[in-house]
Amino acid sequence: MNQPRDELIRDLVDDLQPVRWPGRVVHWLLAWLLFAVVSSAGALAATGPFRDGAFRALSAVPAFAVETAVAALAVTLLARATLVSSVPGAGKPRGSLSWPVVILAVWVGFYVVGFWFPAHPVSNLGHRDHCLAQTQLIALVNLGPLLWITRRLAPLWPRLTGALAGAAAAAVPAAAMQFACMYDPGHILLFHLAPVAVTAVIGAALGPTLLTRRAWTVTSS
Amino acid sequence: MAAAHGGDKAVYEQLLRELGDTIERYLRCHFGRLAHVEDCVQECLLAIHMARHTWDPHRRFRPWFFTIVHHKTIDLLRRASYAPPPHEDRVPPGIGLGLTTAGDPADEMVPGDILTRLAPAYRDALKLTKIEGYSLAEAAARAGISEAAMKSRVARAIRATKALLETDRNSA
Repeated sequence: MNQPRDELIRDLVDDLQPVRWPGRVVHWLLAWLLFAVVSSAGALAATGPFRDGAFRALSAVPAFAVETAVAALAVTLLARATLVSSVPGAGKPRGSLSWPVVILAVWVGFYVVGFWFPAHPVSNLGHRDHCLAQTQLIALVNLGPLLWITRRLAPLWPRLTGALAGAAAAAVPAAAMQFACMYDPGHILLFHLAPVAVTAVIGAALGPTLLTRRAWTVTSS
Repeated sequence: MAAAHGGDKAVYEQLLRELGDTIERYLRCHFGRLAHVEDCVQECLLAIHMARHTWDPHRRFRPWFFTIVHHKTIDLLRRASYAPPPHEDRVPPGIGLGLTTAGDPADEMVPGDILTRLAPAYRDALKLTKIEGYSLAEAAARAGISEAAMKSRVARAIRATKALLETDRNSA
């Protein structure tokens, strides 16, 4: 007979309400990706034109197409890792983390290598005056719904989940800027991809507060 | 758990009691007389309650359950204070491993004791600070190393324990 545990169990049973399974991770992932892509493309279209010939370059410049595909993959894997880390037992913590980080590193690596071998002709064509602020603002807009979704689940590592959510949220506008702003590896690293790190830090800072449910406390043993 | 999703309180109470016993046996099987086991059991039950909606009825219960238990166990190891417990809780050196009895369900769940699978230096660091309740300074003096080295060794021992728990879960 363990009195504190019995009391806790009685309290938890009293608190029991019917709950509904929130659904598969992949459904939430697709819903958020759709929102993030539409909101990012919409916001960029509303604030200025897309770079002339940017979409044609996908078929004309294979390296640019590969770079864009890696960006899309990084976005998807980061968002998936965010959601998987919010559902106990949904995936292996290490396995679900390592691929997003590797693909993100490959994406960044394209621009580092791009200083010598750019995937797309470097030019000022399509330059936006406030691309850093735009990327950051859109990232924050995307971060809200992703944190809302993860809060509905049960993140065991709130700081990590918050950081992943921040990185995913900022990676979408960063990828969209491939088409909306000028192509220059240095510019992309500083003005488009830096918000990924900044928003990841913001997510990590918000995670423990926003993603932790503190309705109960264990009293004693 | 499926019945608990529907709000069946009687079944849920029975489930929590059984899970509580299972977690306690699991912790004692893996860590022996780890300090604050009861706190960890209650933290796990609380986490299970808060996260119960995320269990996918189409999937097995066990991976979901043990992810929570492992997470809370590592949390406990990290948070457990270095202050020595009350005298009666302090375990004589060498005692504290392999407390399970024959036929214990926890025996069937895990292939062996986590502590015995750790490197000797890590095992001693965890035993001294988390099971026997010595302070960092006391544990460092007993091991013949500096306090900073003991602190670092405990951190690495917890990481190694986490990796072993993950390996067990993935191979299950």
